[in-house]
Amino acid sequence: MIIDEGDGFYNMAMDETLLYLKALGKSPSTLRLYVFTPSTISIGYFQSLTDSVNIEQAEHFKIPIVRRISGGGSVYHDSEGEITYSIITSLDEIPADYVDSFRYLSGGVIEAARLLGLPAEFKPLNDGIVNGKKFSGNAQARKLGAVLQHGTFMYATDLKMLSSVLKAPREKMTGKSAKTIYDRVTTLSIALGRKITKSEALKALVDGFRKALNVELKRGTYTKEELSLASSLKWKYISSEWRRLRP
Amino acid sequence: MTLKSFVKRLKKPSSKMIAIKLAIDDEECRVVSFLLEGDFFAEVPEAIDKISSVLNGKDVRKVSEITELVSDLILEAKVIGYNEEELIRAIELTLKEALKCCARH
Repeated sequence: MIIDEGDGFYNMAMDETLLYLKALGKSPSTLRLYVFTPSTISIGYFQSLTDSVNIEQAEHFKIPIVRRISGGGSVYHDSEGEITYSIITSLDEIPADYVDSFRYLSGGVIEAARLLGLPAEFKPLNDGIVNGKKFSGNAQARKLGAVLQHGTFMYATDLKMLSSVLKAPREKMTGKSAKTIYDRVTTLSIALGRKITKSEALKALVDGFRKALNVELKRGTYTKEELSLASSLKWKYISSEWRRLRP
Repeated sequence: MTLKSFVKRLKKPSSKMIAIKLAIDDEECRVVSFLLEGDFFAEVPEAIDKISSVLNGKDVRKVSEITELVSDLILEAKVIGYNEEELIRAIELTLKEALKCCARH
């Protein structure tokens, strides 16, 4: 387990690094718990940049945008209200069914919310919900027999900022009664009726993943190889070509 | 050359959104760009990317040939929540709609 903090380009580069090095047998299975500093918007691999992000607002608030290698939707990673987790392991360590694999690897965030006293549930395909509203979105990428799943834990995200910088296409609302991002999303602080601190959220995540995965978590650090590859990959994430892969 | 764009969106209540975005040169009746976009997941994302490169420059009038080219890649991509037939049908419909706008059709 590694607890980390950095900008979005570094964070995405490190997740990709650990995925490839795990696939090559050069890194162990890893749980990362990290914060995006500064606050950052990430978008899914297949998403159109302009369809998913309000660029004008993002520029106005100086919020960087990074494209992930995983699918899924756009996310506002609030440095003061959200902790991201990533799990990198072998495909043979997780359930074969895609939905079951999401459920299994998201177990830590569900348990963490429960440890904070909330009736959290997993909602297929890839959401963690409490009181019918989403507090965690999860995404996967698979390469060479390894899997990376990363996801959010919104303990106190600024939802006003989130709703101003992210766009939800009208089509995405089909089958959902809510009409705006603000109506569909919540934070654990709102659900609990009191402010959850960052250290409280972090402790809940560590305990939640330990319980959900039924493993001993050992605090570790990156190897030189991991740091070196992440440093090289970071330039891909910074490039406008990658960000505008689907304009 | 006049560019014409077509967008078809797929969304099932239990699945993610997929937008099929096609741009054609309506004088030459050729694909200028083809993208599958959205918040969906695919087990092999590279196969989705390959669809775009395979279709670029293709003659829109050869709908069945294009559909055949796409079929294998859609199958390889393993898009979560959609079966191959649904996606291939949607791509075929988008191509047929574009075909109506080709100047020399």
